[in-house]
Amino acid sequence: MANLKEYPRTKEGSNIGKIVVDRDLCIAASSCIAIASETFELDGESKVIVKDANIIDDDTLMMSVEACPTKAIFLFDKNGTQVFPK
Amino acid sequence: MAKYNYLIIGGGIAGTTAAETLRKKDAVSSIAIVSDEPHPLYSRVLLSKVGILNGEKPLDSVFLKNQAWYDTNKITLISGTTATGLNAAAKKVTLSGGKDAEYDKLLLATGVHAKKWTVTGAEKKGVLHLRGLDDMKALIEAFRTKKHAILIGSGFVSFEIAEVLRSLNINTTLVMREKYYSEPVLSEAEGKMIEKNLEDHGVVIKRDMEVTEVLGDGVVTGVLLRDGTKLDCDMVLSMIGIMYPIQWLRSSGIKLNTGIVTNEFLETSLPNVWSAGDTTEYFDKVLKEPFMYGSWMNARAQGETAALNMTGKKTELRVVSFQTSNGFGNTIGITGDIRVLPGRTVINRSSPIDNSHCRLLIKDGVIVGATIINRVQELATISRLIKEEVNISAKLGEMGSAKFDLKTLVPTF
Repeated sequence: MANLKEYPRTKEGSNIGKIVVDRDLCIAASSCIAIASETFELDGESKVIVKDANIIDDDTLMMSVEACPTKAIFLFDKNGTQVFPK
Repeated sequence: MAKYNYLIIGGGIAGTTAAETLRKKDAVSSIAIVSDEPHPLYSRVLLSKVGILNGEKPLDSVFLKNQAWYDTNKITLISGTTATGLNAAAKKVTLSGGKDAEYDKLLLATGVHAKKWTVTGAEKKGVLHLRGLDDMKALIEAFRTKKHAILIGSGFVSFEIAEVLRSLNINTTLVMREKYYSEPVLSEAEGKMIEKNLEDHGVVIKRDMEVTEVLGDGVVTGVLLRDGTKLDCDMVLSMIGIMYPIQWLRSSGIKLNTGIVTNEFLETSLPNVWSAGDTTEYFDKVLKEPFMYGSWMNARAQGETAALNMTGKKTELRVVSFQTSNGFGNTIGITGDIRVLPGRTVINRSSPIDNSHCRLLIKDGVIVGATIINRVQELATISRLIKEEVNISAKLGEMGSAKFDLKTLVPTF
């Protein structure tokens, strides 16, 4: 069973409604933090958590999750459809 | 002789993404991946990272797929096997070990190899490089006991390894041919920022310098530099770049240049043969010229695009390539085409207070690329401006200020 943690996103004008981190897949490569340090940080277990799901724009959010070498972060649109990874 | 509907040469992120995409679109066709490594897919970009390379986390954490995934998806993984020849007329690939394979459609996704270091003594024990997982295992083993490293090359992998070495308290001297770090990928100002970062953490840098001989009786004990200086060390890490493994394709008649030449659909010059990943020299629809870019994200996008085209769904590759690298708390970001060519304007956006810098390359009023240090929050905006070919001519005068918000250039904002 995947160890998923969900973070709702309510940013106005954004197409993305939810960020999901698979904690089993996260290996703390920190690629997402490099691109979106306002959004992501590592917790005490060296796993990525979302500290603010609304602060960055969709482009930066998409780029930060694309950069993940293990595809540990999933994005869903407002209808609950997975938009990344496709 | 085995025959596959889809045959993929290369088991890295490009080849494996292609296999995954093919299987999603086509549940019945046979798919095989030929990999010269004995491993399932793993994350190559992690190999040089703190946490992995210093041995903190288990090696298993680099794997992205296991054998069960290949079995479940009915993807045959022919590992530990090298492709040695291609006969496109017979639709046949010659493999090492006599296991030739026939195909209906072929994808070349071989990736790149580490450039061979040819200096005298380079074969001595203790000379190491890093490209694959087994290289990394050898480095982790060496880092347990060695105390004095000579690190060669000023690429991003060196930058990351330098942090690993210092975190393990290994004395580190960096020898680079370049006059400043990562010349000419970074500007001189940016290269100097990285150098200061390295030196602040105890890395000794020898600029405009080369190792001319590795010393030691079978085992490394030191190096001789071009200026006659001898440096003691117990390991040499040769991170001098990459080479494109295209020699095996010479006799196939496929169009080659620096890499394997394709159009924007990743079709090669041969029928039923596509190419994806670092060795692909594709026609870049954003830059409107042939382009190569070795990065994780680009290789994955190419694997997916090639697979769609192989299933008959015509899909252009349209990506703005980016990559980031971290060392000692600093981040380098690169996006798009960063070659300073004639006719291109360079705009520097520098903020000494927060030690950040951004260099924009502009061609015909449009941003084509950027290098960024500690301002990665601008990476996505710049990439979008590149992709959408936004004309920024009217704002050229203001963009040199680090305070200017690049987001105001995006039409929809």
